Amino acid sequence: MSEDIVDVLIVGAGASGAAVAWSLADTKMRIVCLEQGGWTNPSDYPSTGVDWENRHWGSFGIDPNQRGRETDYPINGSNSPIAVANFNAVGGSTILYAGHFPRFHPSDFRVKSLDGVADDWPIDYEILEPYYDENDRMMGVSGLEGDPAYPPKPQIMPPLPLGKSGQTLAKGFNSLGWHWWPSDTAIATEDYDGRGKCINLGGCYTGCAQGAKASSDITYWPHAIRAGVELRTHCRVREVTVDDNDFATGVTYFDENGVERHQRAEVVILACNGVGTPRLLLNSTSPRFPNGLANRSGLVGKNLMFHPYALIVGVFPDELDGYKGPGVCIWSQEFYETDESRGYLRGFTFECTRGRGVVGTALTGLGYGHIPWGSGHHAAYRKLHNRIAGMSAICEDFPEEHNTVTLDPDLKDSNGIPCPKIDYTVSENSEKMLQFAIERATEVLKASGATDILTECPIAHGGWHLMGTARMGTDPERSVVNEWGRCHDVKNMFVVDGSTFVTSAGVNPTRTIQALALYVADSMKKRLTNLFD
Amino acid sequence: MTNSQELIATESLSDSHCLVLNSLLDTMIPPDSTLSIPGAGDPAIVERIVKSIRVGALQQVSEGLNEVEALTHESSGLRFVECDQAEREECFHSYGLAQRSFIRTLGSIAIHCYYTDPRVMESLEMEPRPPFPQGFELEQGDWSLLDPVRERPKIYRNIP
Repeated sequence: MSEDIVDVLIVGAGASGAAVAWSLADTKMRIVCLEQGGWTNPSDYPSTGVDWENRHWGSFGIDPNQRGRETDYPINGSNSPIAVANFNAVGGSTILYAGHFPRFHPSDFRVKSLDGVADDWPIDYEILEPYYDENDRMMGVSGLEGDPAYPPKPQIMPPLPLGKSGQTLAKGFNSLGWHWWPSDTAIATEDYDGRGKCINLGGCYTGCAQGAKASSDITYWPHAIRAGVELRTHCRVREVTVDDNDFATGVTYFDENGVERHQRAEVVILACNGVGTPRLLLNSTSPRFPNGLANRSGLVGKNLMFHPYALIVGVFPDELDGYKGPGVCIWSQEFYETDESRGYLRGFTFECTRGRGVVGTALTGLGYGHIPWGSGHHAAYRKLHNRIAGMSAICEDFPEEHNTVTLDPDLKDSNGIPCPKIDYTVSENSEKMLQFAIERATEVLKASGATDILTECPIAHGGWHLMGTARMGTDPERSVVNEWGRCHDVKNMFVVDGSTFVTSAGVNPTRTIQALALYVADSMKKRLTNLFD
Repeated sequence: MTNSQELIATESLSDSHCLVLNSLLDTMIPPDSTLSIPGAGDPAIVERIVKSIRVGALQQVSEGLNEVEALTHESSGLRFVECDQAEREECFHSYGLAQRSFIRTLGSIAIHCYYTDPRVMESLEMEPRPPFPQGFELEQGDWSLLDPVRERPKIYRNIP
């Protein structure tokens, strides 16, 4: 069954799909977005229950294979030390992200020129800066002006409180003379755009029942829908269809009743992020694109970047914030820029975390041998309760062609669509960086007063950031999309998600993904009369 | 028989399994009268634990409970539930039960259910309520700690 043609068809209603939909809405074009998930109801979020930590491992878990919702698709991650984390819904993975919201730095777009590694982006910080600003207004960013690790950027809302944990860790950084700053967060510290301010529920990574955390279902989407964008939920796209002139004609999808449909479109925009987008392109084969759509470069699905993470936490003698408040706290970029004497290139951010809930504390204690089963259990638990804090080190990952998203030959989703397989190894550069980060984190935690140090490296369930698998560039033989997001091979198809990233930087990508989506949308609007030339 | 060893009626485990389970859970997380907290073998907590065991893990737990019973009987001639806390702990540790996969499964579930029990939360000076809608207070902290960082020159690199 084929439906009326629409001007713009967006696949995916997450961070980038929402942003591009909102931005394009002012053109008054007919815009439809297909999302395989549904709307989430904040009253269902775990923090509405005492057992919120338990529910984080259930229907609001980060691992699609464990979560197994009808709206999920399985991922074969058996050949990767890092498992993919995502969420399929309106708002996508912003439903479960922590709201840690850094920008890239100017150097992140020029790593080849500066450090002789990977590739430069075809765009730079200056080009993205106005779109960062626009996105900050739409999402509502809290932070503090004056961070010496960044070019000046506007403050929209005050930062989150330091709390006991932030204060304790800040003293440690100060004692070593290292940089720290209150983290930029996508968490409202004041009532903002119809959303209530943060009331320190904790567990931001399970969904924010208060609505203070800026997931795109409650930021961009209400505005986009009011502006006329049509959002169809529980619609899973199987393939993008093309004509003999290498133009996309629309998509074939399964609707909420499992009925196969075809939606015709003048323009197709993919916003399924670094695993979903290559999966869809590789599933879209045809005589003219036998290896997958827009894949004449052979790079669709290659250069997958994750951000290898190390977790380093300490046990403190005094009570800290524990389960109270957002996990996001302060960051340090003391070791962000390249210093070759460290034995690796590029760098990382320390993202400090306030603490953990009672269940997380007990499981951590048991896992690391700090809490026994039996008569010593309670005394040992009480030495950890509200006393664990620390940081994760988010390390820049380089694009390497052997790190891939391909189609698993056997695995299918509930609609029979082939599912992704991940092949990934942590590079030697990343290994050295992770080790350096653990040593420095140990140093600062001890300087902060921590007694015991607990580490996990890499964080096995830490594949939150999915980048690089449809990279941006000016050379059609070395990239999938051009410098404004249009596919080299299919001139009416665009990609706006993390798969276009050339490099990963050493920070969370969502703010940059959304700024890129706004930039691509603006580039399209400026070229409406000759968009396909 | 103590309260925590009372039979928990469930459809998923046999009566004898439930008895062993209660004792085993009290062994792992014992009651503490000085802290006024129950053990994990408390009937209300066990009921939640049993409900939380997924069907797929039920057989694993049942087999594990059989193993506990067999090991105890072999070493002492007693049933596990007939041993006192010290004897049960001795059995638990000497047979390396903490490393068994069924204990890892059961232990994780027990932790989730135990630490969300209102009596346990209150003993930790927590209000036994969900985070939402009341939320929590978080102190601002001392922002003057930023002063030395503010004085630093920029640390990001210029692009030529």
